[in-house]
Amino acid sequence: MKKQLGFLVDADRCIGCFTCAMACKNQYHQENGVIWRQVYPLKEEIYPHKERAFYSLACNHCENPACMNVCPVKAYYKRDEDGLVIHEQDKCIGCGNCIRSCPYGAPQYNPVLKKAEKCSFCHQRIDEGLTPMCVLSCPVDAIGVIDLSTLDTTGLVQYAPGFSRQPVLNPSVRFRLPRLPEVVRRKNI
Amino acid sequence: MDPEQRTRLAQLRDFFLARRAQDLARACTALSGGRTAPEPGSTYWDHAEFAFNKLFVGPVALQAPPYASAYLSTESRLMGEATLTARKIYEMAGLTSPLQGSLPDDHLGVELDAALGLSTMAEGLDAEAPRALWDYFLQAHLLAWIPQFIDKARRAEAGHPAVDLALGHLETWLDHQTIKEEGMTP
Amino acid sequence: MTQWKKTDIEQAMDCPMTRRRFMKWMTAAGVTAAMPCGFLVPGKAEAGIVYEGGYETFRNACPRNCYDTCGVVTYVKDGVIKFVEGAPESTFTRGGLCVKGNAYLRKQYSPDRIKYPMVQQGRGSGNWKRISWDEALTRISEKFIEMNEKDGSMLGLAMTKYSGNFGITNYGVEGMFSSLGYTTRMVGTPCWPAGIDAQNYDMGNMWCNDPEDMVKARYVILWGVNPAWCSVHTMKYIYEARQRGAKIVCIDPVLTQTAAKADEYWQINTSEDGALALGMARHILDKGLVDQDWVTQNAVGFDEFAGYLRSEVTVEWASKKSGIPAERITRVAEEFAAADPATIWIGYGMQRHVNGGASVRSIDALVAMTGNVGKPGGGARYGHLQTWGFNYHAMVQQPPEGAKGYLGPAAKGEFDFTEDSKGPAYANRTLNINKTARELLDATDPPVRALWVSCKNPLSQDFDRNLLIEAFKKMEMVVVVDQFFNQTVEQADIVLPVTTLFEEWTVNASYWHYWLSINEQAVKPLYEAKSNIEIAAALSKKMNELKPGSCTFPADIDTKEWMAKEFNKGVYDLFGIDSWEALKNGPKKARTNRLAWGDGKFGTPSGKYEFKSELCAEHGFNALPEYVASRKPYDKLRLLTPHTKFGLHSQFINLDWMEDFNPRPYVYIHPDTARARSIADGDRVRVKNKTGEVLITASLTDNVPPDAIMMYEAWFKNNPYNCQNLVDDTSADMGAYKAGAPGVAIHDQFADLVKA
Repeated sequence: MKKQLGFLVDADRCIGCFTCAMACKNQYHQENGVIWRQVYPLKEEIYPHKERAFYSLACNHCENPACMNVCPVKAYYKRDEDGLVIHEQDKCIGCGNCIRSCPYGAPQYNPVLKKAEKCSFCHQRIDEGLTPMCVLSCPVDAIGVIDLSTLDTTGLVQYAPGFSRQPVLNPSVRFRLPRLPEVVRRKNI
Repeated sequence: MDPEQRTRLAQLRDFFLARRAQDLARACTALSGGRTAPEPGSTYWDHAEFAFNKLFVGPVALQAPPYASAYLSTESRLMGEATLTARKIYEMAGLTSPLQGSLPDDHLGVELDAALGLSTMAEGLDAEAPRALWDYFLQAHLLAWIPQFIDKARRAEAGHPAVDLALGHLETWLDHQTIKEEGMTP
Repeated sequence: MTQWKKTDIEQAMDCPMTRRRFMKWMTAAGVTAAMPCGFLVPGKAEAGIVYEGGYETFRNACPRNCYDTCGVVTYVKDGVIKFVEGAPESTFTRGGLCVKGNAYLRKQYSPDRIKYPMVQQGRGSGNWKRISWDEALTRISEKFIEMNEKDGSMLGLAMTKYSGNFGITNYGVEGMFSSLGYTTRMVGTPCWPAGIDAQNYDMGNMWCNDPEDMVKARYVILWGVNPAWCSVHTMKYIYEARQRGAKIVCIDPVLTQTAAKADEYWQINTSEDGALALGMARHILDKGLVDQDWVTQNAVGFDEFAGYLRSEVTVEWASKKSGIPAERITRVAEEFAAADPATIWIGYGMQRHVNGGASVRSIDALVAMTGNVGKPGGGARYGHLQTWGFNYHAMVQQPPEGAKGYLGPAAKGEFDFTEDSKGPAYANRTLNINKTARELLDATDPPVRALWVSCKNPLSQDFDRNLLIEAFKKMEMVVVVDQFFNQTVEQADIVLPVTTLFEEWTVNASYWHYWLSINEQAVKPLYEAKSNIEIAAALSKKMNELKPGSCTFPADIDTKEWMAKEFNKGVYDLFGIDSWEALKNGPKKARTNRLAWGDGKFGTPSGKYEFKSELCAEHGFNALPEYVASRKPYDKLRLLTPHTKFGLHSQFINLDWMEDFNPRPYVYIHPDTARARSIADGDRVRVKNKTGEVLITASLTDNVPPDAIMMYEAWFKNNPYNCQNLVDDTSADMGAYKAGAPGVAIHDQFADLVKA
């Protein structure tokens, strides 16, 4: 299998502190409302304690990206060396196809430039041997960079509960699911 | 730009760089062509000052921040790209702000002062470079944000006739530049 | 002739060479310096500094009241901060910050920052006039001089200051006050004093191990602490401990984020922590699991403590009080006693009760009787001040000659390392910071006439808010030094703009980890902001202009020099450096003092761990860590107002970047409690009690127990929400010994709620 980089989302270690989301903002200064990395609390049907488990999600750098497939001006390309899906904003005409097609909401509309944009995996940092800002900033190492071609998948899943199942796109993200504590509540309150 | 417009520009600069009521009074009197206005020192100007501060200075969250950076991106901030753009343009004209680093270069008052200088250069000298610089500053910068600023200031909760006067003159001055620029090479 | 198009101009802006070519054109065209500009001046064509990688980097440290005190690396270009990162050298922060630290740019460059000294025409009117620093300081000085003449002393001038900025040079505010004479100081701390005193009675100091050694623990109890929100960088050590086989137990009235990550979570009945700890102690005693060797060698009073346990404490009683099933208490007690080492992290929330200090003593006892004090990976962890041995040069100033004050000793705060003055009998008048409203209103002879607020936001954070508003009305002058227009600035007469961490020189330590950080000035202060010591110097100059000899604070200071003056041999030896400049390469770690009580030499009168503390009894408490009853509820439901991950007290939550992720406050209610009041998720509700009321949106969750409701303390921009409307100023038991005043029972509040 060719090298394919992606994010490891360790929802077991994740404490939902939003450092990753803010680190991305700190680096790229996205316009208000344009959020490249969002931290989603799991619904109580999935994790019974409200706002106590999260998936931190950005772009999944799919094997077969919807964004790339619907772009009329080839503003997206998938890097041969590591499978990262790059958006070239200079070529973008702001048609909105990618925004409408991605089931994960990764491409978003920049209302000032009137173009799409999304998580870039900090590929310029990757090329210099550094890690993406979100990965660097996480205080508990709950986000990691993985290479699917060499990954030990023990304990990991591709489709965590609540994460949209898209086998055709084949997202490159992998999850570790959050564990539950043993809860001792007071009785007869 | 005719001499009257140039004078107007200087008066508007003085208005937006005003520190206190007397400065506002002076600038407004000048803007109204020296016509009688409430005496400086009257409470009329105190109220003008309160409104001016609520809109443009603080300490409360600004109702209409007078900086390009606040309008040229949805993230309203100081010291944004627009600040550095303005600074570079000044530099290319051989100008600099004495408060560089403390007062953002894209503050309206500073930009109006720059407009005065750049337009004078452009018109006084028969050369491409200064004309192109003034053209760029006007089209790509001033016109890109000042109309939004005027709109925001007008919709704001705080207000005062003195402020309306200045905004009106600012709008008129801007309109004149647009009319003049129509038909020129972008 | 070349046509200069828009793209050419843009190119010239980006490329120095093209820019030079352009400027040659300008010169050729005849541009002269004689321009009609009234503000801009002729500039020199600078080559511009070429930065490595395009940026100049500086070292800063987050000076907020937080365990983690992160080292920051600041990237500057063209005099503007472009982004920040965590210092990679600190093994504690490891290159990361937190959601708040990453939002610092928004704080630095918010258009809402206070820019100039301003005076409010009519307190609370919202009508502000801009004045110069000179005018501001003149007004203030004239008032101070007038007060001195009227009262014969400066006792009418009060300062309220605490943890808004822990950069060491900010103690210059205290210094400024000392240099004006004898004044009124709000002393004490709302934060952690009961626990500090408790640890002092038991061990002779508040001192915890290096948190990085928690990886060695085989058992970790997180007791009333929520590091997943309040000390994110420590979580990795807890995770590592678990990876190595440790069990993690979390005890908290609320199912916090930390609780969700623990192996076992106990939803304790709030404020019955003492009972629970004593129950565990009784069981450990019964089972013969006491570390008798350690106790014999290192402690006094254990026999009496054992006697107390046998006659007054049973596991069943502890279970009844705490709500935790007896079989859980016994099992965890046995596991804890058997683990080697075992540790308990005691949170500050846990001691914000009328019996807080007593509870901490009980938990300390649990750790001590199992021989876990003085061990790597062990200990009763609370905090430490080992790395705070600075000179406090900014703080130590002399009163002017002839200054009069109070007769008798003054209380000292926990960060006051100055020696007690031996000379004059005069002292400051000290008032309890936790009862600011009441104290300001009651003070007389002379009354408090002027209030100076810095590094604090009393109208957002202090208790009994309605009473505090009354107290403010009594002030003749209120001066507030701050960065944003918060609820306290709203009620100021004069506001003075203060620098952020990026705009001043200072040095920072942590009360949890053992790293030291330098804080360099990275950029020029925006507008007319000044740092606290610059304000002190400027005030002194003005005071002496108007009345020579009225202020001893040096009028001409170099803030970088003043930062350097904080360092001494003790600090250099502890960190193994020759000069503060070594910190420019990153934070440094203390080489020693990181194993609390490792040598068994306790700081108590007996030199031993004191299960029985005579000193504690002398101060009006029990000599043994006996159970003390909790506060009787005065309303239907307990009200908890802990911290949120999105802010640090009243800082950060007002930033729009933060609003993206945390747009509004909620009150968290158990579904049963809500149903009984016909409240649905998302409803607007009115929370009320004897102190005041709050209108807020409901969020239903069983993270809170049915008998408690919770809202986070926070200041949202353009939102009058303030939980302090509901919090009275009832004292915690301890705190007067080491922190100047008792703490405050923040979590011993009660309320009820109805649908709005």
